[in-house]
Amino acid sequence: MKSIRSQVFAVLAVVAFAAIFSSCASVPTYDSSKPPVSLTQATYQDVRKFGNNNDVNPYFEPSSLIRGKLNEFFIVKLSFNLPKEAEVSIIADATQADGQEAAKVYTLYDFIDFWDINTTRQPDNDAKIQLRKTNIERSCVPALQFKQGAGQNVLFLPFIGKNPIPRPAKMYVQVEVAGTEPAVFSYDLK
Amino acid sequence: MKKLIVLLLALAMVGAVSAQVTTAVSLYGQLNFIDQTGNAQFVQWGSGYDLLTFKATSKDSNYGISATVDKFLDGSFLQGAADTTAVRDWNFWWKGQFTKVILGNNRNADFRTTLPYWAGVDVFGGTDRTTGWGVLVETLPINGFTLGVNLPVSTTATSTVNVLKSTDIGVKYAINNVGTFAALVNLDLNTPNNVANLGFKYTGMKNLTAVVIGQLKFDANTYKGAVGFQYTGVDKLTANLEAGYVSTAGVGTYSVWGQGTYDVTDKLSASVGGSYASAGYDVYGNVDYAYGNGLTSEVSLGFNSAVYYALTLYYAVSF
Repeated sequence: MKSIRSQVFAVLAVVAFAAIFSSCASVPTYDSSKPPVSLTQATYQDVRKFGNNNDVNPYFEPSSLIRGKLNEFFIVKLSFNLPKEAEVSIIADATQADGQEAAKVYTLYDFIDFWDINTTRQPDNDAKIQLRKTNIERSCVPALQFKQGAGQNVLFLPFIGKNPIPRPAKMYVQVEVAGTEPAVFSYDLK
Repeated sequence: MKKLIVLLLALAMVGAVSAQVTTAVSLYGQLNFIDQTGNAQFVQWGSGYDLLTFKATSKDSNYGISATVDKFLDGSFLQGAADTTAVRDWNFWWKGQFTKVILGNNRNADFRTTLPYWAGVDVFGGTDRTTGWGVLVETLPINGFTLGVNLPVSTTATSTVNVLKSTDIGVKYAINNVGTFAALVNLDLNTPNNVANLGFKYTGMKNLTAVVIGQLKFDANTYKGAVGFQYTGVDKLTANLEAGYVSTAGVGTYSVWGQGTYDVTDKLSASVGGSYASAGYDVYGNVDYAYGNGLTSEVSLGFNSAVYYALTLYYAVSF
């Protein structure tokens, strides 16, 4: 009997936890005064919410003991504000003055692969690594063409190059939401 | 083994100066300095084991190799003791426009789902990986859908029909703004020992991750299930609650665990947690300090019918 009571208590605890935190989750809503998409360079505060170091935060560069920081990230923040689900197309590149690629743009699966390659811990049974992967799944642009749901959502598009990314370079992102004018972000990395 | 490790390190150094390849060499493990017996001992692989990992990737990330050496510090390599150091897994992988091929002695988690934290629920926390010698062929995601087939080709000659009867089939479907479903069926029609692994990770709500996993070992009459929640919506706080249940020939065992972790500073965090399980209960508090570059120390104090405490140094270092 005691065992049954314990199991019932355990199930109730799990259900209560889910109910409490589900109710805390905010639902982003469409705001007609804002553009469908706006693009900016992500700030430290924008990405800090994913954790205080690269064990859990995929937007902080990996670092090594002897060779130091091997990569440099440049993160673009895409803020969506859509009345309904829509097709999104992205063109993104980072080029040097001579036209050479300065950094590569990463979408969700490639970004997960990047971190798998640069992960010291066992990637599939470590809580921190799992949280970092979930943070990618939750926040990284899924592909260069995808469907974005209604409401206000933020996604991040990482450019990754060797450290440092060769300068000068131009970081360019164009995002087109079906039926609207494309939004363009251009940044001269000096 | 020593020659192999030296070779891997040499290749890593080549990679460090090459523009065509990216290499990573890393070491992961833990040291226990003090435990509840009051003794201090330099246990170089802690209560677990250390791993030396070598990875190399082409410039365009379309092929690479990976190898993991188990128990690198565990006596044999550094101290010449019994030979326990071994290459635990290795693989060569190639990625094309539509497919990815991975071959070697695999340890692949592409179709695995784990609880968000796992460590607190000891009865069941993750579905199976694809492991062992063989060739794993995966499609690259098409609208979020991935299919994988693993042929477990052994190092000993085996009937091809028997290999086919042991095929593993993986399916994964990622739904944008909702979550990811994954399934891995480990066929073993020879023994028989068929296993179905199922998992769903829900990320459709801001700051909340919910995971449901199950494992059905039909021939072994063993059935496992677990659910886990992780909430990161309060600044600097991560809350976890997880529960698992296992039925083996009708006999059940369970485990429920919860933990809250607060980031006091960027380097200092504190956790309190507890578990209640068939095997007993445990309550504990941990204080972790991250020194940077993968070095973390942890002081822990707990009670599970007796007081226990420990000071541990975790290292996860890339070279």
